[in-house]
Amino acid sequence: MVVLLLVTIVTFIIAHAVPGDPLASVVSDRVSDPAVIESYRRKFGLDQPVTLQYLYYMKNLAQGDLGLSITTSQPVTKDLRRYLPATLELSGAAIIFAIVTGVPLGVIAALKHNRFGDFAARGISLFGACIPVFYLALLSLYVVSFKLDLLPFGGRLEAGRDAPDHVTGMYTVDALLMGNGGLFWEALKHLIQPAVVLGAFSMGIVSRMVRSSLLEVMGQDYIRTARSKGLAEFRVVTGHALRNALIPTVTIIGLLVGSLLAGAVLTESTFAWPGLGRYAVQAATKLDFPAILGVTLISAVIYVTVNLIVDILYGVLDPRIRQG
Amino acid sequence: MTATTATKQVMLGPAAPRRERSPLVEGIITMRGNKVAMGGAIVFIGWLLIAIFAPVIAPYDDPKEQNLEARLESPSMAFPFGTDELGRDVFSRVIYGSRISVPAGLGTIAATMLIGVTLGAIAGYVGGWLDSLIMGVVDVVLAFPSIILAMAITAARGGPGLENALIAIVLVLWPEYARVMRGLVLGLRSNEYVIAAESAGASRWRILTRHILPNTQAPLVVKCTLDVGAAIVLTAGLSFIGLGAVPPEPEWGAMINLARSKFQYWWMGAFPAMAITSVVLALNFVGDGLRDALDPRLRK
Repeated sequence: MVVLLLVTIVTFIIAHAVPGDPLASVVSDRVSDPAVIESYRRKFGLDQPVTLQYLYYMKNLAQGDLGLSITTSQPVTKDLRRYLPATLELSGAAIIFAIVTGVPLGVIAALKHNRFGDFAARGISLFGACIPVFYLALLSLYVVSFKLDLLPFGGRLEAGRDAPDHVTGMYTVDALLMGNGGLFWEALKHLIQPAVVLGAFSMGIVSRMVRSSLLEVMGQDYIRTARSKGLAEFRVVTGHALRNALIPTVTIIGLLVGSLLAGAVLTESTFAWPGLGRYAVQAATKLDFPAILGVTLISAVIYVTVNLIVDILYGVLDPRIRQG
Repeated sequence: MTATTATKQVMLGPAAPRRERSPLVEGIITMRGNKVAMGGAIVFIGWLLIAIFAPVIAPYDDPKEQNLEARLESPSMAFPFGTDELGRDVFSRVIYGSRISVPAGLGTIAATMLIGVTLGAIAGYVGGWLDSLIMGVVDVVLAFPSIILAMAITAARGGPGLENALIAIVLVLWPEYARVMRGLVLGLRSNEYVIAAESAGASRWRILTRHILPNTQAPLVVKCTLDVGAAIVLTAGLSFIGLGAVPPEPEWGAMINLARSKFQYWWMGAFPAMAITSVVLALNFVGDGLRDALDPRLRK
C-alpha cells in the first residue's frame, strides 16, 4: 500500500513537470470550452497550493477520475477499461508461451550440461533475450505473415468482424464462453504471433533460471538418494528435482510482468494490437498527458499487485519462507 | 648477503610483498581464457572503433544525404546494405548510427551508475532515515515498467528527442544500481577491516572511499557491462516508437522504425537490428564471462 501511495506521488510529480499549464496533464489543450476547463481546474484544485493539489488528485483518483484523453476525447478511466483486457490477454498468452517453452529448454540445458543440448538451449534463450522485441515483431510479420501467409498481419480480429459479447474483454475467452468455435479460432490466430514475439524475451529468462536452479538442485543429497533407490532418471527429474527447481522460477514471473508490460508497448504498436501499450504510444507521441499518466499508474498498480501475489505464492510453495 | 639471510629469504619469499591485484583486474585476467567472452570483447571493441572511425569507414560522408534516384535499392556493391526510401545508404547510416547508439548506452549507464552508486552507498553506510528515504524512492521507481515510465518522463520533458529519452532512461535505471550498491555496502561494512578502520578513527568518507568502494567494483562492472546493452535497446525502443532520436538522425531504432511499413525492403530494418543484436550479444558474453571469472565457485 505504501508503494502504491508513493506511485501516485511520482505520477503527480510528472504531471506537474509538464511544461506550461499543469492543466495540460488532466485535460486536452484542444478542449476550448471555458466551462469544461474551469470545471477541471476546480476539480483538480489547480489554483490551490501543491499539497492541496495532491489531495485533490488523490480524491479524484479514488473516484476513478484520471481526466480526459486528448487522443480519444474520452475519460481516461473509460479508455483504460477498454484497452486493458487486450493487454492482459496478450501478456497472459505471452507468459504461457514463455513457461511452456522456457521450462523444457531450461531442463534440457541442465540435463545436457556443457553438451550440445545445453549450448543449443542457451543459444535460443540468449537470442530471445538479445534481439530487440520490436525488430523480432517486424521479422515475424515479414516471414510468417508476408512471405508464408500463415497468420494474420495484426489486430485482434479480421476487419469488419464483430467482437464477441463483452464478458472479460479477452476475445479468445469471450468467444469460448459464447461457444463460438470459429470466432475463437480467429481470435487465437491473431493472438499467436504477437504473444510469441512478446514472450520470446521472457522465455530466455525462464529457461536460464530453470537451468541454473536445476543444476543446483541436481547436486543435492536427496537427488542422490532418489537415484540410489533405483528411480528412473525421468522420475528423479520431474518428481524430485524440477518441483524444487521451479520454486525460484515463480519469483521471476513477478518480475516478468514488468518486462511484459514494457514489451507490450513495442509489440502492440507493431502488431496494431489495440491494448494499453499502443494506447500509451499514441498518447506519448501526442503529449496526451492524462492518458500517459493513466497508463503509467495502472501498469505500476498491476506490477506491484502481481509481485505481492507472487510473494504470497512463494511462501505457500516454499515452507522455509513461511517458517522464516 | 650472509648464508642465513639467503636461507630466510628462500623460506619466507621475497622481502617486499608483491602488490596485490584488485579482484576486478584478477577477474579480467582470468576472463582471457574464456573464448566466448573474449569474442564478445573483440566485437564490442570493434564497434567502438567503428564509431570512432566512422567518417573513414562509411562510403558516404553524410548519412543524412538523400539520393532520390537510388531509392529502396537492394544490397549491391555500390550500396552494401541497400538504400532506404530516401535513397540514403543504409551501410553508412548503420556505421554513423554507432556514433549515437554506443555512446548513448555507455553515457546513460555511466550517469546511472554515478547517481545510483552514490545514493546506494549513502543509504547502505549511513543507514537510518536517509536509508529509508532513498530506498523508498528506489522501490517506487522500480514499481514502474521501465519503458512506460521513460515514455511519461520524455513526454513531460517536452516530447520526442534523443536528449529527453536519454535523461528519462537515466531516471528510470538508477534505482537498480542504488539497490545493488546498498546491498554490497551492507555486506562489507561489518567486515573486520572496516571495523578496524572505524576504531582507528578514520572518517566516514575515508572508510567509504578507501575501504568499501574499491571492493564493490567487480560486481558493479559486471552489471554495467550487461546494462549498456539494455540501455542501447531501450534507447532504440524509444526511437522506434517515435520518442527518441527523430529523423533524419541515423539512430538504429529510428532506422528500424522507417522499415515498419516496408516489409519487402527487408534490408532497411535487418542491418540496424543486426547491429543492435551484435552489440547486446557481445556485451552479454563479456558480462557473463566477467561474472564467471569473478565468482570463485564458477572458476574452473
